[in-house]
Amino acid sequence: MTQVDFEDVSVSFGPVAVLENLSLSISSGGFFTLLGPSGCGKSTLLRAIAGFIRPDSGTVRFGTRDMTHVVPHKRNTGLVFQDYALFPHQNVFDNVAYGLRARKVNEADISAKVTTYLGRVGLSKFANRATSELSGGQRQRVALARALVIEPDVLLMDEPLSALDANLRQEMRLFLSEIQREVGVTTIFVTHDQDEALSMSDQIALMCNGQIEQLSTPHDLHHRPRTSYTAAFVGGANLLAVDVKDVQNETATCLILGSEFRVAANGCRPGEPVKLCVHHQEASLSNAGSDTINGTVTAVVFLGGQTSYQVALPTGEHLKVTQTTGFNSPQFANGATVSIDFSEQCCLVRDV
Amino acid sequence: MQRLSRISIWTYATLIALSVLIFAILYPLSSLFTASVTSPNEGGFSLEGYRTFFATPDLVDALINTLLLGAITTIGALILGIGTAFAVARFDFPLKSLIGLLPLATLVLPDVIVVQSWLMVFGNNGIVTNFIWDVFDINTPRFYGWTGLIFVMIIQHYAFAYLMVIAAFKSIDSSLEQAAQNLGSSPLRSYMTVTIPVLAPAVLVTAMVVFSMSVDNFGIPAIIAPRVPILSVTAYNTFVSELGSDPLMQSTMSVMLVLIAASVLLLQKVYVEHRVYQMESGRAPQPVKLPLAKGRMVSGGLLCFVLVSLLPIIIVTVAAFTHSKGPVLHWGTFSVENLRRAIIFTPEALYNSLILSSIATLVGTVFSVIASYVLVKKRSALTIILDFAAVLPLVVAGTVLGIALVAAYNTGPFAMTGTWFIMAMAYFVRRVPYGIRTMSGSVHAIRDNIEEASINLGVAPLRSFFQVVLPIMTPAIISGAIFMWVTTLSELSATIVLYSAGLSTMPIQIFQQLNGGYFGPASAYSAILIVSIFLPLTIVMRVFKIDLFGTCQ
Repeated sequence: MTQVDFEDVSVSFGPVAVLENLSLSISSGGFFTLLGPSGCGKSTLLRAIAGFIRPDSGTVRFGTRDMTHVVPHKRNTGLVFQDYALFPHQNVFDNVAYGLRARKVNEADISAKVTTYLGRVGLSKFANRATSELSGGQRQRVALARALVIEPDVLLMDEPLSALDANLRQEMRLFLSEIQREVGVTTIFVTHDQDEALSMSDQIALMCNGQIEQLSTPHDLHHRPRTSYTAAFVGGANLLAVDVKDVQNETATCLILGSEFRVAANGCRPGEPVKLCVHHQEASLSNAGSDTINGTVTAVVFLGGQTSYQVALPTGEHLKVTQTTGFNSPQFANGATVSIDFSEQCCLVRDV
Repeated sequence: MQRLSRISIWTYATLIALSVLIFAILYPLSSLFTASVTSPNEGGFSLEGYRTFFATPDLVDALINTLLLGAITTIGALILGIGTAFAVARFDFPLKSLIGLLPLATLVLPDVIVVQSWLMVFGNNGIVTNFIWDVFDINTPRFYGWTGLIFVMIIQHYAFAYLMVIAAFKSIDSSLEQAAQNLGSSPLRSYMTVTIPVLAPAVLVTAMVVFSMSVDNFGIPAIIAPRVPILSVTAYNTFVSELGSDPLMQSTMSVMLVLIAASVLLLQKVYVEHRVYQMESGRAPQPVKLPLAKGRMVSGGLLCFVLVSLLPIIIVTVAAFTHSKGPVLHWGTFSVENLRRAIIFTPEALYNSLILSSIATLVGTVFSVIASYVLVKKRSALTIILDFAAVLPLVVAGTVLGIALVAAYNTGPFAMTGTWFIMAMAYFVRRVPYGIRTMSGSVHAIRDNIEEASINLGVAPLRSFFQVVLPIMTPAIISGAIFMWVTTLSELSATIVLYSAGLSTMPIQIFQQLNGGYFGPASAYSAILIVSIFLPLTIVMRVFKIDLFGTCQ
């Protein structure tokens, strides 16, 4: 159980600054995710923990130990590579045993440990297989067993699910969270997929241009994004122009097209540049009335249990709304005029 | 149903290709094999030839020498090739890109020219030999024999090892070494336990190819070590001295040579080739930038070495313009006499070389295009035989092929010994495996659905081939053709058996002048040959922007 700390870490590749004065504390034993679009610096951060990238300045700590200048092979971090990097000249058993042999563990203990961890990932029967005879999911499990068997201080995973097909990815999400809870190792997971991040993590750091945009629980990241960037990246939320009249007790009263709404202020003050963040489920449609905000349905997508609408507002903005649909629920046709209501769970976000 | 069972044009193409190979190699080789196990007197089956072979000390010596030479050449070439490849793949130093490219030039340098120029440096009247004699009054050890043989063989074959190994170095995935380090291995231990084992099969394949190439070589041992019995040379000598009288020993020796090469190839196919690891993603490790002083040292050392291997080009060019008398060159003088004699006395050598190479290349290119297409895209029982027949030339040394062709077509309905046709056919069949290997790589890369898309859009299958497949293959076709052309220009070993009056080629002229001790005229022919190899090569590579050796593997 190890806490990982970054203090003022900067990394640049030639003239390009990838991380700038980044500080971050990753608490021990949790499942921590670095989320962000490609090029945001999340993999660089992970490789700085593994030691393959040396920061230009700043400090990397495991617990109280300063790891900044420790070589990669003395760090005791288990890294699961994106393409697994299984050794093609060794079978499954030898791949998993590799780190133990480097640590000069005696062969009897190696055999016992490898067997245990292969059992944990459900590959007991595959010990003598060549890695080329395994499916993608199985390789993934070998890579995981190989990283876990050395009992690392930190488990690092670099987009480990991106090479798998959609069904297998769902299955592996559950499997990875389960095994992480079981082993209890501090886990740092890199992904660009917000669903993956939301479903697996205890904490998520959303990154953008080498900075941490927001660090919070999956719930808060989704429901209380602090900026319009976060709201758009994580939830794909609607962001609407809004006038804030007044904020009291964290509740904001605001105006859209002359109608008044109460929403969560989410730390925003009147006068700040803000947007109203509306998730697809946080707006509801009903038959058009006279005293409400009306819009025109411009697209209808029936998804079975839900129906997704696109509604054009008189402001020219477009709103995406998802309605749960039962057998008798009202359906709105393309071109219909509908009345729109916003839930009080909507929140303001700082516009960036 | 009727349309499906119709025999396609590709079946005919396969049949024609197969017939060509049966005529040019399968039949001659099988008659050679039959001759080696036939009693010369009674005509029945007999192992007399092989009994005589193993009972003759000179021939057993030749066998042992051949294997020894192959082993020493392979080890030497691998050490130099791997060392150079490692430095180029893993480190950054001044002039790296130039140093990385120069070894490729030695690949197309004819072996006769390489031997000749080293004789002019270290031979009895060589520059260095004379210098040491003049200044120190010391007799240097004789360069003729094993010393020179090993030296020249290694210098001639290292570039090939370099080319194959650097490809392997570049294909290894950097995350493998990182994974090893992440799991607690020091960089050195990661290298020993991961990088080297992963590269081992590729290196072994290289070793086997270099071994067969050196066992097959004729020109180098024939010129520099005429007294050391080497199988390829002994077979030729037997052929020259006993032509027509006793075919038993020449066929037996030829079969022995084929068996050596074939067993190496078989070993490679069965045990090694499928063990070469396919990397998941080829992100090669970043080269490490060496500190300036160290970088200059590496750069200087490598440059010296690589330039030494290119020295022959300079030496023969200078010698071509130097006044000479027999083996004595008057360095520092200038004369066009050598060139004048080469061009005026035997213009047909250059003419024959160019014409025969062009014919062989043209036929070989068309053949390779068709063969590589049917081998990859139209698999059938027939193509399996074609595949086998098309790699067969790889295990047949040039002298052996020549002997087999003469034996098969000396008499009978296809009598053609001594004609230009049999020479062109030998050239064609020797280069076809390389042509097919180059081109089939690009056919593999063409997905079936591209052709299907063309057919689906209403273009008939055969026209789709010409409009879609052929254009995609073009770069590989050009580089395959260039490779066939330049290597055929340097061909000596089959030619020496097959040529007759009026059909001599450039390498034959060089060989004969060298044997007569006429270094001046030999250099003139060599210089002309070098120009006729490098000039078109440079032009074509510039015009078509083709990475010739990148696609040749």
